[in-house]
Amino acid sequence: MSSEILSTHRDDTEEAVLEIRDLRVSFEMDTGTVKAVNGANFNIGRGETVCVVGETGAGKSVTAFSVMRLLGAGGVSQRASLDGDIVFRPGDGKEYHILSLETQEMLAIRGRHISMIYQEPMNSLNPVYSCGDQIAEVLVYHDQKTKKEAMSAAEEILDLVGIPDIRRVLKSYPHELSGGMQQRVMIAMALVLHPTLLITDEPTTAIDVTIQAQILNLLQQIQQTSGTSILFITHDVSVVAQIADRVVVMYAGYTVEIGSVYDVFRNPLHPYTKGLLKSIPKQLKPGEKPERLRPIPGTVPNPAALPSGCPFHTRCDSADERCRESMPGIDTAETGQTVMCWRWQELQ
Amino acid sequence: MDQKGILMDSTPIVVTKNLCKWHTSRSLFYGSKKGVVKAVQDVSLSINTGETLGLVGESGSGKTTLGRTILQLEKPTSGIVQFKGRDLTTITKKQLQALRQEMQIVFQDPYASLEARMNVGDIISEGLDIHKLGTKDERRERVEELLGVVGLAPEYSVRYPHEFSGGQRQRISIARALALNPDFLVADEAVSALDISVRAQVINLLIDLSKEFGLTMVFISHDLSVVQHISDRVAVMYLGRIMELADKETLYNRPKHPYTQALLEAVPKPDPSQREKFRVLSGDIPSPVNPPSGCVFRTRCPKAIDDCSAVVPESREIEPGHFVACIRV
Repeated sequence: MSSEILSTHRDDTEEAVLEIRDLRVSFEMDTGTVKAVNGANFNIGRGETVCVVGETGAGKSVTAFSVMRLLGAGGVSQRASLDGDIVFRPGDGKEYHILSLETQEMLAIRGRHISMIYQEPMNSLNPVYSCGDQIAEVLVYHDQKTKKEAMSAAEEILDLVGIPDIRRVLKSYPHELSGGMQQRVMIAMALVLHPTLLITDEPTTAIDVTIQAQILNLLQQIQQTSGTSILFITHDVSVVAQIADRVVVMYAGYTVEIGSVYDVFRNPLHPYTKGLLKSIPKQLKPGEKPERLRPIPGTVPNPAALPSGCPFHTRCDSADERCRESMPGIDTAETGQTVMCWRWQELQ
Repeated sequence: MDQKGILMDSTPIVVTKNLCKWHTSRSLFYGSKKGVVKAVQDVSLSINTGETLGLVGESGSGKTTLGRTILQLEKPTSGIVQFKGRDLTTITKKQLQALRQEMQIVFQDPYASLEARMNVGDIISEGLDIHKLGTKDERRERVEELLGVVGLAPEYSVRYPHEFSGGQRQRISIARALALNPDFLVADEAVSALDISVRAQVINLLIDLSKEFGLTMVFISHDLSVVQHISDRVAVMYLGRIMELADKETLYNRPKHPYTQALLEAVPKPDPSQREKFRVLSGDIPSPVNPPSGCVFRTRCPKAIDDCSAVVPESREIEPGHFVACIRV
């Protein structure tokens, strides 16, 4: 089924920097098997920003960690088992199947061609090394630069990400910087080798709106100048509206809807996407009174005990017998949106 | 539809006058210099009976401290807080404890604010026990009733906090806050830790409860669109001071303070057809240990002039009910 879906995502599959095909990730826990990702399918084109949106437990971060090969054998979580295929094309004609690479091969890709900005900068920077050392390490490791060369490259990249007092920041330890500054250091570290693909996992979640605006501007500006592809993970629908080219909506480990940001916001097809968009306060015009929010009832299912049939049927107003019993396939609408729902056409 | 309004009148339930809260602390930044953090500085505010007052600002602006100082969870350094006409800063501990029945708080972090070793029933009824209200059976009934009010099953009263999700915990927190039938509730980032769909459920719940019980609420949040949705009036804080205060309609559509304008411009719009480059406020909020002289916002303000560093701007009422602390307005 996956090849058929993939061909409809974009016509230029050949050009895709990243292809995720039927990714499944589960964790063996003492209490049972936690199925974090159950069928993720999407591509990222060159220079494209793809936003993965969903609630806690949707499998967004696990998908990102899988692309970075941080799970399973050779990764931090030995209890993970991964299935499916992740194809990465850095643009030099080569093609890598990330899940089956040797550890050494992956080390050469991670940090150089694919880099990641993690969720909490405070917890992701090493507290016992100065920021300069941490940025320089990337260059020393991948480019065999001397420490001195690496430090001057670090200075340049800190300037690019808009850090004012560069010399001080290079010598500072992470705890001496504000959250916004730490996030910039993380971004600098991820960008110093001009990666083909940048993954950002909720980069602005713990940050104030004014700093969020600075960081989003920065990411957009960097993308325009370098053509980096961005996989942007967030739960913030408004941020998606502002920065995405395409949107991937995840629920319970499945990519339930994919489409261009304009199509998905104007005409969401999956009941979950519709519910998400109705759960956020509307922009009010002058004089307009707020309407009551229409939240999706209930909560996200436990990934250790997913419901039968469509994973969303327990919270879906339109679920019927078929939804409760069997898993929907993936359909493609005229707009190119793909949707995993039995009833999307009737519900239009 | 007006969300509330029936119960709103303009008698203030809470009045603060020149309220200050300073923390003396060792600074985390730049070594171990000892400093005074002026978390709340000269806040004069009146909160009307039945209204929901939104309190917004960046982290470090003193929103949480103001909420806690109003409730006397932190003792003010100077200034007064009146609750229903009584000065909370001068009454005895015993009198204050009795008044606590009428003012409650929902804390920010639903994972840290529920005692892990108490079951849900005990957590919700603790206030009833402390104030010796009702018999054992009556308390149990009240717990079940409250669980119903916040949309949880009565059987949950024998379960423990770790068995619940973030949204459910926040509902338990709300049930606890409502147990004593308070008139005044501080909701401190009560929905910030929740997922979108659950957040919408809890927002609706808070709106319903404030209508149903005639609650006066201070809704603290850094999320400006949620505050716009839920509040009647909104106060904007920066470095411990209130920069602007107005009814929601005025504040969101005709903000006057440069800081309010910058904050509102930074909020991403949930609509891809309204994309624009964010007009960005440069830099970070300065350290409250060493705030700028004069207007605390002048270091980031696009409209700052020399005079801004000389005088602390007074809060002026530029039109009825619209207060701005800026000399450039």
